[in-house]
Amino acid sequence: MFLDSKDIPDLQRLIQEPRSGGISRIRGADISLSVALFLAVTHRALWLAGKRNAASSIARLGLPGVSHSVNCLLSPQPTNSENPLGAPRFDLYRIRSKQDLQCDEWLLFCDRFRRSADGGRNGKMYLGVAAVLGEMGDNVVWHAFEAEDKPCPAIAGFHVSSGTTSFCVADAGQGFLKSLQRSTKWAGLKSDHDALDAVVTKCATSRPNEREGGGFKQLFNSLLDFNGLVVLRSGTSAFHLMNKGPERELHADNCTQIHGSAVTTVICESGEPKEIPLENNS
Amino acid sequence: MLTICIAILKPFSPRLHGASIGEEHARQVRELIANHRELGNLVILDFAGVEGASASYLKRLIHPFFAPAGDPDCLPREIAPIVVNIESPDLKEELDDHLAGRGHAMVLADRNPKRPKFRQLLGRLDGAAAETFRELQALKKSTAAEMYERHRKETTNQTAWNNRLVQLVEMRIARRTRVGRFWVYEPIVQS
Repeated sequence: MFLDSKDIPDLQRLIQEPRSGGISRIRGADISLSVALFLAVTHRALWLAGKRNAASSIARLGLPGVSHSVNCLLSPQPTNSENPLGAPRFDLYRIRSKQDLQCDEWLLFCDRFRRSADGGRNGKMYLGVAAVLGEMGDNVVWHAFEAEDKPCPAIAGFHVSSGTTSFCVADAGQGFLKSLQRSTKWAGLKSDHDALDAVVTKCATSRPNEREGGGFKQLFNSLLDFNGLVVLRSGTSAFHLMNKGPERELHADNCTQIHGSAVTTVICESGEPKEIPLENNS
Repeated sequence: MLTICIAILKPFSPRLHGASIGEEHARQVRELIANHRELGNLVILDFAGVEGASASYLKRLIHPFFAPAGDPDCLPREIAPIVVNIESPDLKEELDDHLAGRGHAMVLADRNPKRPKFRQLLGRLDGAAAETFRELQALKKSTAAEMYERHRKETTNQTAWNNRLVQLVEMRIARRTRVGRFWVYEPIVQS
């Protein structure tokens, strides 16, 4: 069984329905980076909400990447990288405050991603992709946090394997809709779907005095051209964007309410871009 | 004149992205300016070593120079920023787009041992302001009265020239000094 971002609504239902076996039904499954980060953020949110049993049921699954992600979110340091200048296949960075992004560790993390994805080719392509990871991480403190003094669990991670590069930024914050509604221009948005649509098709941003959200504009302009898949999830909506020949395909899903939001990007060197399983030692 | 190398600001990477880092760099820039005691209001932002910067970073970095009066981050109007050592075409385009989108302009200069030398204007100046700036560059120093005298056939009064020159000062691409009864204007960097 392989679970990726499309399965997150079902995972959310399993977490909410412990009587029918709950989340333990996915024990032994292979999971993608986006699922590992979703489970870790959910674990943290449940723990902070006092739902310790539900949180523990996630930690006990022993799924690839989840323990590392849970520990990363708990860690006093944003990153526990043993080799800051290395090129790991899997790496994580916890975002708890703006200061976590105003330090060398954050820039080193983005650069580790660039090096890992680039695979020693010294190409220019992943310079831009790493910058997008930087922008997506930065969005957490400006958009997912209700305020600078009201943070939420959030984590960025990347995974590079077999010609596929992915990164994901997941949080348990207020979501795209509430963030955009802070702007007078977008205050009238009614649903999570409308909010994602405004971000994707109109480069909406909640930042005052800005016409367009630069980070997502960069994401859509560059990553999709690199044979990429972008998945945006917020509240009850998820958008999957992919290049299909000369056209871009957008597939929107409505689902059960899921806390927070996530941006997942997958770039494949060849073939259709798909999320891939994390290795068991992740 | 104060030169601030972006590369000495913390944290630093050749590729700068994100509003959070831009905000932190802007804070350090404001601190360096506040601690600078030499005469002169020219601030040179030296981008040597910077290969790329995102719009969100640039917006925060240069915000204090263009913030409206009353904004807590706003620097005094006399502080005029210029940029040097922008060698990456992507960085130049990003800064140009950012400034143009907000109706701002900034001088990109060549770094000289003594004084920086005008290379080009980044961002956007509307027709009349652009014309006035070109004229001021050609004259090196001028007053509204002198400009009116030179263009008596094209403009109806001196006030129009005065307003245009004041606009250049407000955009921080020209400065003025009082000489007797007149304000004498000059570009912040000579060509």
